[in-house]
Amino acid sequence: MPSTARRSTSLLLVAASAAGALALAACTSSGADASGPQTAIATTDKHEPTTITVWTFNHLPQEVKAFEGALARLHTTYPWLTVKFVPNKDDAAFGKAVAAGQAPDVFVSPSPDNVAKFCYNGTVAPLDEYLKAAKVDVAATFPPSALVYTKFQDKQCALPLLVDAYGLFYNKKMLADAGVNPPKTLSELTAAAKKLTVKNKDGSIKRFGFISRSDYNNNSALYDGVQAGTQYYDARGKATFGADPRWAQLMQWDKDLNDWYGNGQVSKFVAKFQPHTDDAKNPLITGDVAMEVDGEWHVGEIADAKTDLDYGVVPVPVLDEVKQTYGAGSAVGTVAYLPAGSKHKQEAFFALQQLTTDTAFLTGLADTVYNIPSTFDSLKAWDKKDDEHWGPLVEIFANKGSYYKQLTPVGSEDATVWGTARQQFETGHATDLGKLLDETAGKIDKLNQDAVE
Amino acid sequence: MATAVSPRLPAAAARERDRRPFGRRVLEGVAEHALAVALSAAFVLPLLVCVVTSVMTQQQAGTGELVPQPLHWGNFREVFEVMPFARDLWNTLLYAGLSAVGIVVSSVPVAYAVSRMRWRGRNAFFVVVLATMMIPAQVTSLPLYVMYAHLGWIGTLKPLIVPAFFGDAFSIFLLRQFFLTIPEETIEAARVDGASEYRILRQIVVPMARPALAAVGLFAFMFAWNDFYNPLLYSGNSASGQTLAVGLAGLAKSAHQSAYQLQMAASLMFLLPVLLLFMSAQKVFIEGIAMSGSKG
Amino acid sequence: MTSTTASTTADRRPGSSRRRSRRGSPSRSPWSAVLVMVSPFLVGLAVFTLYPVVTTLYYSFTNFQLGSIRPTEFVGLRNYERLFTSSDTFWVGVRNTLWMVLIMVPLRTLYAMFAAWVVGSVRRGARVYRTLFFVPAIVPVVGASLAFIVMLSPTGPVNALLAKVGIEGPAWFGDPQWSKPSLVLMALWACGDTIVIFSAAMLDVPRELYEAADLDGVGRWQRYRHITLPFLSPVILFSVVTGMIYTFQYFTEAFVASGSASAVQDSSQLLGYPGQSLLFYTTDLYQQGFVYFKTGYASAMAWMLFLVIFGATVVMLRMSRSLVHDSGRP
Repeated sequence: MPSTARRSTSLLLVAASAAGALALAACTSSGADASGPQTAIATTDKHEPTTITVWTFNHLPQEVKAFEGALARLHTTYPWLTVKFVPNKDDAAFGKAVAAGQAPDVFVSPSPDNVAKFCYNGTVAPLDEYLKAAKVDVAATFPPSALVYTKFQDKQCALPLLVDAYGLFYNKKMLADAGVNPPKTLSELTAAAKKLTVKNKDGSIKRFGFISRSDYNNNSALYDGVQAGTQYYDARGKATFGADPRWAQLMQWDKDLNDWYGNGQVSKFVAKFQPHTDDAKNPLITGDVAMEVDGEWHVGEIADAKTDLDYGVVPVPVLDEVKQTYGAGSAVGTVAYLPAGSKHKQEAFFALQQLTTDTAFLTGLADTVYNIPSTFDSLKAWDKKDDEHWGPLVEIFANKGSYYKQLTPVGSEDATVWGTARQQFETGHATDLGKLLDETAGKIDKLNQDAVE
Repeated sequence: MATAVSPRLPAAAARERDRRPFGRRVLEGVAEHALAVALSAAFVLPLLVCVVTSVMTQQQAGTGELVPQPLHWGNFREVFEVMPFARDLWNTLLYAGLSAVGIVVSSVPVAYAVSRMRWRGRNAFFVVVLATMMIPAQVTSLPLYVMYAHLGWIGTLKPLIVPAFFGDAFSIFLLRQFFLTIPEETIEAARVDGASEYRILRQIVVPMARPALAAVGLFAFMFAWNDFYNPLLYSGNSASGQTLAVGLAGLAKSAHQSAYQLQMAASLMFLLPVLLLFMSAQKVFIEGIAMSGSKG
Repeated sequence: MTSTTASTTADRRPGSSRRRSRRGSPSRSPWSAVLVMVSPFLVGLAVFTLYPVVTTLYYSFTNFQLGSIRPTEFVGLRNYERLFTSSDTFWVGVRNTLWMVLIMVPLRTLYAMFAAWVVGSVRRGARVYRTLFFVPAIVPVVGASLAFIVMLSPTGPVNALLAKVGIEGPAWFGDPQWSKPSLVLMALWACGDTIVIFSAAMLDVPRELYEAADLDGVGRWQRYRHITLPFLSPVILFSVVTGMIYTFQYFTEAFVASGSASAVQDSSQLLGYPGQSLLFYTTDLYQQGFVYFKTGYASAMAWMLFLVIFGATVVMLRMSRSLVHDSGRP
């Protein structure tokens, strides 16, 4: 077969030269035209039939249906546009596909952690030219906190597609019985947690007030910096973990509460409930914990579990020193990229624009996947914002003090190093907090330096 | 010296044992089997847990109970809804079947050359063959990924199947062990008759080595069935290349994370083909493994 | 291939082998025939082994990032320097992997020896036991890992059984102290292939030796220690060397276990969970190379692994000459 022969020839060619392979790799991954388009596809345009591929992340079956439904409507409205939908892809899968020269046309990622990295490496196309041509005014369309994590060095590298906010979920009855008000500062949170904890006769813990351990469920939202009024990096881009004492205060707070229960007790709790944070065996639902930090989708999960749980949602408590910032929280969301390797960038951007700005689609999807809509218009149109549980979360997202950690070309690695340090301190493997934080800052600085070398 | 002191013959000893009282025989039987039964329990427990969990409800799975109540057979059907089980099964069959064929076809001549042909450098060559067994996939996968990407093979089964057609060190080693047991006279007689090496291989060695070929093919099939790293890396990203191992691992960390009953049902269906294969070719299998442990 | 072989055959038919065999000394096979036999392997060796190994070395001196459009530059030994001095994970991976080599490999070998001895010492039903002990070895690793995660879940069957006898079971895969021991349990469970090899080797012990020992009135342990064990020593070496090589490449079990324990959907970012207790050298390598796409850095890791495995195998084989009893088998 001729094609086989050609392939084996190229196989040998590749084998022949190591340097050649590097060049080939570069060819595979680039191929992106750096300049943007002069014009955009208008909704009224007639257009050649085009099929684009849209990748999204892990979904429950009903979420897949919601996405497919929205994309089918897109096809009905613009019959020239056919969308092939592929769920269950994460950033690693996307990276692999890009490296193989098989990037999808649109990639919807569950987290913005790699926005700066993808942008810096040219994995995704900057959208500014496309947005200009399509006359989309970003600042007038998306809330500012959603723009923080979709930009890198003034380039719009992704668009927000639904947003997340984290709140403190609490069992109303338990707090009322204990005579505790929802806490606003971390020391109030500790006091409440201790009061709400119920022990068995043998000293083991029957019910926890609040689990602070940073690798549990969505607790990492507590340690992004917002709750301590600080940021990963200072104005010069240096990691602040050693320099800003608030990080140490945050960690000490965490460790003190953890130690009050006993690390072994907490570990058992985490191991038992970690696989069930998103289902009916979630400890807030089962009554094994009185308060927990979780994302807005938990409202939907609790509804799905069909329990009679009476719960409230308030902003996550903040470090006492910055109690004036109470009300703010980690604001983050799903992001949609236009991969640089897409062969139909114009059409892909058109789909991307529809997906990220269409009010009916955003509110409908938000209802299905239990997220918050991500444009001013869709937020206004959304009927859930006055809901007892959704309302506070929408406010947390809209709070002027809400933000997400700064993104750098190092991607998610800085968060991983920081997470490892926290776990070392929590489990008692590291005892010198000052030294640990200094080392963490040093490691993160080194990673950032290496990433742009 | 010692021989003179105890002149009992084995047969006499056996007769004596038979004369022992019945109760003692039972006790001895229990003592003899107690350890074996205890060990069997340890080997069977995980499989038992897997089987019973696969027919539990979501509520009951993972609770530590071992009796499914009620029996929930629907899990096996549901697996097909939560993951593309049939498609992944087909991909796995393709990978395992074709790579087994490739490994047998390509390894037999090499094994023959290093066992029954005489040439300078043969031993050094064999050492090189053995040495390639040591090199982990992780050492070679970065450039191979680049190479496969350039060929457009990423996301297909080709990176898994094509290399199988270029010989496999372990299989060569195993076949060599077996080829060495073929009497020298048989082969030399054929040579004297003017048979070519190719003919000797095809008409004498291969027919005599059928069990070894079966063992090698079986091992290759099982390896591919079990393989996770290569499919994860090269083919798992796409629908046409995802295998069961990757699909199953995905099921465990997807939104169905805590659905132990589905994971166990899928695992059982994943195990079943190789279990049947093993049951039908147990002898070949066990002998092949025993052979891999014997030194050349 | 067939046509090439046919022409080779035609070339050498005229009596050449006949003449050589008449000399009585072992004849050399013609080069053409040898080449035909080994050429597929040679091509495979070049393309799928030598080329990548050499290219990995080359990558390791660059800042190559697969998928990035930024130009690739030579960085000298910078990647290696990073490994040893500033990496947050390299030494963790080394430590965890060595832990497995030092604990899991010997335990697994001993356990398989023990199980083989048990199978060998029952007079009736050995076949049934052998099959029962062996079946776990054919269970695909991903499935086995999932089964162990279910079995060892904090509220799962094993802890329920332990609770019945008054023991409070640990959190197994959820506890950094117990996650690696959990993997060891799994490795013991799936040691059937090694049991078979030990069983086969035990059958090779000449019966006369046992009979002579019986006549001497030698005890069971003495018999095992002085007769059986020397015959098993080559197999022990085989089991340790292959176990070591396998453990250096240990990947799937750790990948599945940490992915499942960590509840985070994008668990590629949490390889090693809980804590960094399941971060092995290869999982770190995968993460650096195919999650972070630091191809140059991961290549340096790959080369270090290559050197270590190579070195370790040479050392083991050297040591074996003095340790292993030569039973005089072919």
